[in-house]
Amino acid sequence: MASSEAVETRNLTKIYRDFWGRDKVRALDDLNLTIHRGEVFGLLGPNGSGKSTTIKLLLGLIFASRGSASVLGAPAGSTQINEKIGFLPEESYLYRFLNGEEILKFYGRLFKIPRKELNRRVPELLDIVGLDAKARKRKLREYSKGMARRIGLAQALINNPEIILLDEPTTGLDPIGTREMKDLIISLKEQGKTVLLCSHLLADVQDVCDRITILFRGKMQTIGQVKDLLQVKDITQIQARGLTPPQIIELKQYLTTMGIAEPTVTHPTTTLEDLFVRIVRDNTGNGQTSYTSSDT
Amino acid sequence: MLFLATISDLIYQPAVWLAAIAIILALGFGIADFLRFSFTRSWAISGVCFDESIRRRVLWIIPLAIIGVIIVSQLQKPIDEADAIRQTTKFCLFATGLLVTLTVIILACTNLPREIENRVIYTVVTKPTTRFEIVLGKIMGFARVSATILLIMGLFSWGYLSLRAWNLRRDIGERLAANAVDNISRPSLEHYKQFGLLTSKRLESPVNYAFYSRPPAKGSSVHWMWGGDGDVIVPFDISPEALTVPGEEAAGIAPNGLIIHARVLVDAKAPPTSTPTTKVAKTAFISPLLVQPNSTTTEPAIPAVSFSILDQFQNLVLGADKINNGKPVTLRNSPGVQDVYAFIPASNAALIASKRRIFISMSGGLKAAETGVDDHAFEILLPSKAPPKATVISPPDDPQNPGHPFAPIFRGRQGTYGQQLRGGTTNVPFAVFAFRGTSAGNSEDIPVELRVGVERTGIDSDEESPTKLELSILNQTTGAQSAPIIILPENGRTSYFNVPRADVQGGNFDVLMRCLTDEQWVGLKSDSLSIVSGQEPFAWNLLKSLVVIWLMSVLVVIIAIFSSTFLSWPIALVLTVVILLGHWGVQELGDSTAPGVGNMVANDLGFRDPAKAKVVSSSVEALSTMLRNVSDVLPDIGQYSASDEIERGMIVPMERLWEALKVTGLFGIPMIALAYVFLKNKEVAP
Repeated sequence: MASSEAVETRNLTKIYRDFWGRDKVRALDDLNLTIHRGEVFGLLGPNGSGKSTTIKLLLGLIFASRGSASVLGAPAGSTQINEKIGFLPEESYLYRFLNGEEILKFYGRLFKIPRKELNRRVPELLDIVGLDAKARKRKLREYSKGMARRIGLAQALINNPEIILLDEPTTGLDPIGTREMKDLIISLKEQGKTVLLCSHLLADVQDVCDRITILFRGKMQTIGQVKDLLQVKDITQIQARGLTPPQIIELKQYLTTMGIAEPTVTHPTTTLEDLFVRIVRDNTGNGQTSYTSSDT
Repeated sequence: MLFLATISDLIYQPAVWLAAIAIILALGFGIADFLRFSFTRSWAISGVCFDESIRRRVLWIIPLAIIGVIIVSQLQKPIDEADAIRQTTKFCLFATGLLVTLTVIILACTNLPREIENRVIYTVVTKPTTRFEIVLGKIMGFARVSATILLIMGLFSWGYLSLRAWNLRRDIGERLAANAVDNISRPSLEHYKQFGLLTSKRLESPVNYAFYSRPPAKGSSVHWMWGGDGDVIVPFDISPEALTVPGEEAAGIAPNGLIIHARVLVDAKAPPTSTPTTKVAKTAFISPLLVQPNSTTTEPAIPAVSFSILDQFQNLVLGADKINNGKPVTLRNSPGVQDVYAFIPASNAALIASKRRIFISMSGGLKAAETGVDDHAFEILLPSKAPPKATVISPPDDPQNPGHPFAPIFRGRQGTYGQQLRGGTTNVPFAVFAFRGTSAGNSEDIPVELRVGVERTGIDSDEESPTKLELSILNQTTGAQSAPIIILPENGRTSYFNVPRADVQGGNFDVLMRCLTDEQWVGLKSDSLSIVSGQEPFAWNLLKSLVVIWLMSVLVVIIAIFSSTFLSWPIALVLTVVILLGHWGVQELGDSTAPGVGNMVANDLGFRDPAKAKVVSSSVEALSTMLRNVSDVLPDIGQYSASDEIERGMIVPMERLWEALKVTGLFGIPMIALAYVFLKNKEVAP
């Protein structure tokens, strides 16, 4: 397999069998997927479509029934390649009796990061994910869902990975947190890292992903660039600032004379997320920490 | 040397071969993982296991255990101060061992299944952590937990025992000063006051002990016993093949019976009479239904001997009533060796054919007669019809004395406490404790400990009728015999006295003991008499015991982690207990798993149909063989005996730690390898 690709799968299939070896569920069926280095790739699909199964196969949490997968040129699940992978699971599957700092130090030791380096990196990461000093000393079982996602993200970035797998990264985050997460993903991409994003929150995926694939019942349905997939090619949109109502009427008449049936001229809308973020930021000043840091 | 001896010892054990297979399998599966092994990662995982256990307040159970030990110690009924310390030591170590074992077994069995169930394992397995590092890390983590518990309980035990010993010693001092002790207890109490109650002594035990009617004569291999005082036994190795007459194989086992041939000497003290005497026995109260007042027994008036057959554990197989038609063999009261023959019928001979080792026991019937045998006392004759001759079966060679057969063993009568030494004023037997190669330490006065049981015919107590023991030391190196020492022992209590160093010079000596009190029997065991050859601090001794317990807990953790890699935690817990107790359980079954049990069961059930009998017998035999084979590959937790020596105030030898380490290593390492193989092939995200 070419090592220039971040992830490659060939006929990747996962069949769950019962105790007697009979086929029970075909969770993934002949998946052929290539993710390029440095891109943000979205893995979409309804519940039970095989998204999590794909992630688990790439990480070696489960074994393929057929086919193969490679991550950064090495077989999926190999221990060596885990040095370069960061993984944020869909829930915070972390040790609930450790506090934030202890969690990051533990995972840092698994990467054999020197103690000095770890002592420098852990506070930085906690700042990046937005956990304040008090929260770092509290045990994970006292964290809110959003705080738990933040610490989960921090542990995924502890080793400055080349490829990051994010499973439902914005679950449990408020709109500010969601925006910060998305900003972080973009900044990771700018650093040349590859991000595999698995989500069923379509708006989040649309904003950050370069390419996406949609899975349904274990099979890939479509794959391609987001903008290509979302373009409605038979409608043309023109944007102009400062048109007066008489100018709008004249424009409509002109389009009619060109043979365009019932042209529509309206004002574009922003997203509810943008509105929320703007209002909150305006009211709190510049107190919010941004995710966009170049040093993760 | 110890290591090399261990290797040569181990190489024949099936468990060793299975261990090798497990390790090779693991290496085959994951040599790359072993080459990548990082102690840092394993230690990090162990730290998380340790922290989790501590933060889940596992240590809070320790105060409960401490309170339990203190309460139980206050409720004890010791026979003396040393016994109080002994019992307290036992409670402390028992509580410690139980607490540690239960705690780690639950923690270790539940940890991995819980991490898989709540998916915490995802974030560990997706790091560059091999499954081997995960397994090893968890084992180290729970080993640290058990070490912490042991440290706390060890400190408590040492502190509590020291406090108790100090209190008791102070009480003893006050009682001695006030002269409020009896003469029998005084020597022991003075010993406690002088040396304290928390002791760790190196005790040298005799290599053997025997009961004779007279002290062994130098240069003579003949030993004597009084009639009715015990018996003399000699081992024989037996098999169905050994009892098959050459040329008469079709006739089965010993078709013409067996003959015991003994060479005995007689020295009767009373002249023989032609009529038997009668004697009224004391009332024998056996049960309310079987009270037999005024029952009588008769004694033979001429010297005679009876024979019986014992199994390898010296339990009775064929009684005297089944040999020689139940009649004793009479002897001539004349000097010189007499050849004595006793016949075992063929039907009874078949009963002993399945035993691998038997003992022939000979006992004298006339109390006033001494019976003597030399080193070639017995042989078994296997007679044949055509030609009429007998195959001789001799005792096997003694491995302790190559080239020589087993010497006869002179035993006392079995009593409540060991073998009985009859007391009296005349014609009393001697107990001879043989010490060989004994290192007696450097002091001029060598401490000796004696612990006996005393049985009396009446209801007198120690004070009303004190037991008087006379001891003297016969030095085998110098030939000198020491002046007699009189000891007044108490029933079940240890007596302390000193002997001059010159008496035990050279390390090879016999201690001759006889009881000079009428109508009393002194119960003796092999460890009744010991020479103190060294001492060490009690704290160090306690630490060794705790290390043994810790090694056992490490094995428990390994087995628990291994079981939990492929089972849910409740089943893992059960499997762990089964693995730990399997070997011990099969040993407790004893003869029930010995070869030949299938035939015994079929006979006992009385099957007449040979086909059915064969089915039952072969099924039982197969089950018994399977149990034995499984037991051979399971760990022997008897090697973790951590409290026997320390309870008795003895030094825990370093060999005890080595044995414990051997078991932990032999069974633990392959289990770690197998746990790694199972976990590596396990989908942790079902």
